[in-house]
Amino acid sequence: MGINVDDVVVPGDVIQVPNENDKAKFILGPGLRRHADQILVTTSGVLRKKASNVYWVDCHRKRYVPVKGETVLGVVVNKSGDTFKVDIGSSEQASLSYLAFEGATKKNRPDIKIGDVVFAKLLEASRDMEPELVCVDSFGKRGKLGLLQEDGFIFTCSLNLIRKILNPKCTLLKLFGSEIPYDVAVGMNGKIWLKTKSIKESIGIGSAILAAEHLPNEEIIGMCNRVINNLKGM
Amino acid sequence: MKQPILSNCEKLFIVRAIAEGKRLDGRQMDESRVLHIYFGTDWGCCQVSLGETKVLAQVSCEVQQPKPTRPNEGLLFVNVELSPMGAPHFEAGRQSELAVQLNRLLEKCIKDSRCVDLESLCIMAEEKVWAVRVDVNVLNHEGNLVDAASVAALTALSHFRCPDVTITGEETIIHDPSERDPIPLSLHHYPVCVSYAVFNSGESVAADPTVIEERVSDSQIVCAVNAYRELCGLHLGGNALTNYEIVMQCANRAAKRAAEVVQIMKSALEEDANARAAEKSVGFAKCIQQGKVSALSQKQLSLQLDTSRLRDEASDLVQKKKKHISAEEEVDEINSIKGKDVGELSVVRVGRGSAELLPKQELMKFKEAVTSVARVGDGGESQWVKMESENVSGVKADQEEDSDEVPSSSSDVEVIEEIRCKTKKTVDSIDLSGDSEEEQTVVLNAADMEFSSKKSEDKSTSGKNIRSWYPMKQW
Repeated sequence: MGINVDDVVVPGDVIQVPNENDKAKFILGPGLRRHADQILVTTSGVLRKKASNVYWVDCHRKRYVPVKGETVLGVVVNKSGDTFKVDIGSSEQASLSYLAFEGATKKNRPDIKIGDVVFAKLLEASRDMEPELVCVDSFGKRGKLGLLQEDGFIFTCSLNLIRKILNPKCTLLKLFGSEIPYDVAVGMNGKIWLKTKSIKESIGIGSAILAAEHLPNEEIIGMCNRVINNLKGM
Repeated sequence: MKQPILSNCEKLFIVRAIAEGKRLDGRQMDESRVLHIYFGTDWGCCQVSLGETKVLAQVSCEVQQPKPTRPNEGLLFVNVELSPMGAPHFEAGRQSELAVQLNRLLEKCIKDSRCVDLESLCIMAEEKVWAVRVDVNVLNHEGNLVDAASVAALTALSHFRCPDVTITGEETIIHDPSERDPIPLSLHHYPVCVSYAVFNSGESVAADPTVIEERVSDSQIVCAVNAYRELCGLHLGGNALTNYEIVMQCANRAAKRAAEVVQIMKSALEEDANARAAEKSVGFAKCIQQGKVSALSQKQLSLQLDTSRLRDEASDLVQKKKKHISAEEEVDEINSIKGKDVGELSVVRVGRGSAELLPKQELMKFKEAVTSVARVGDGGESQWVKMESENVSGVKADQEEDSDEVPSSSSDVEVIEEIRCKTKKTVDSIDLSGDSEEEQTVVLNAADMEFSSKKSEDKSTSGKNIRSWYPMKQW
């Protein structure tokens, strides 16, 4: 019995891909790996397919696995020599050089304390090496990256929810933006930093974001409106 | 693994929120999380969940030689185990500081308050006594382990049954449970721990702190109080307190909470006893049954708006309605109605995860009414009745509705008819299963409390609080 797309798979399952000609290429995403001439499943979840040749396993996750080029939120946990150690929720702490900030030089160090939150991009993320973060782009500009203000609030959620709210089709953050002014930084590692004018608004928007996890898009609109009404009515 | 460091953002936010009287999960400052007690199939086995904090306790016993200093008293051991299952930073095998502290607190609460009658555990003086051991395992750490562990240990002790023993001359026979029914331990009183987190050097106090509140707080106060309002233990942790009144206030509030907890404990024990007597299935299977499709998702969002405002407004509306009706009706009719409809209207709080099944017509009314929601997205129990949207079942009220619409439009609060019992004071309604055997019961009088002497004078004369160690004080 073969495994089809949208089936539930468990580690060890072997996937047979339709193979019309030998030269067909396949792209294997997270949860799949090639072993000799077989494709094996390495996580439990639902097998998904995109385009004609992209496969991956979709599952509910909270543990972040660093991927090169993604933007993440991290907490500075240690200062050692010329690098900061940053907790980004992965199995290993990431390193962030103090020179990787806009305008930083050997003499002009950025003012960062232990416990500060930084929004950074993963420069390096491989299986055997420590992930490396930067807070500048390749032109040396900070863009949206860098140190986040202390008067915000940071909370964690599942990685699936992050992908959901960052999806261009999801209107959640825009809906709130049209009614309540707020700043948000969403890290691919399941951390969200939020800053509003009042604590009540922070808690309200935070709870709405968490609540959106199991709601379809149409219901999110209704839910957002109710939360906005509630916040404004108070 | 080390405990992940807390960011400055979180610390600052929590402190600011607490200063404003707000908590992340929408609770009031003196509101505790929901307490559930489940029993295993075995005697003396129970799991307690306080919100998402989960603790398992198991009591076991064996025959041992007593201590030479106390030849006719049984032995009681309390052991707390923190495994990485509870939180990733707990280390297995090694006793951490927290584990030692928890252990000592439970010993203070249960052993030193002498709530278990150790003399009844004696089989033969100087030779054989029962050694009872309470093993407490933390399954999930979401803050306030002390409360959950103390309730678990105490419930397990009162659920436990020791094998029956007969002594014939030199021979001691320990009967198998199948031969003779095992005997429950005798407990004199039920001391439970109630903990508080103190913020802003004593300006605000939060009951039942979550893990993040515990870490941000200046200090923690743990009061072990029994249902008689007797203080059996007190622990102050963290930075020194600046305000002695806080301790008294906490002790007073803890006494109130302890009475509630003991009530929950007793009803859970009774329910279990009834289920066993009726030979229904018992065990932990019950606690993982959830009628929800998304049962494995978070039961409760970690961030929530508070809903108390809605409750308050709804009770106002009910009051209005009462007045409204009484103005319309004639005088003699009022008397009859008061007994039936109006007088019995009251606002009852519907639990967070609960859902109400509404008849269809009411549902239609409802959909028009519902415009605002406080608790979002958590769908409530699954039901076979098809509803238009998940949220309708877990609904919040529309506050702008007319007062006439109250019964259908409010959902966080539900207006029902209920038979009103005479309200009793908590101190009185407690079932006292045995008298306290404390050798010295010190009852503090109002005169002992200098700072509260004004208030307490009129109260102490009422004579209702004679047993209380500390006069009731409104705060």
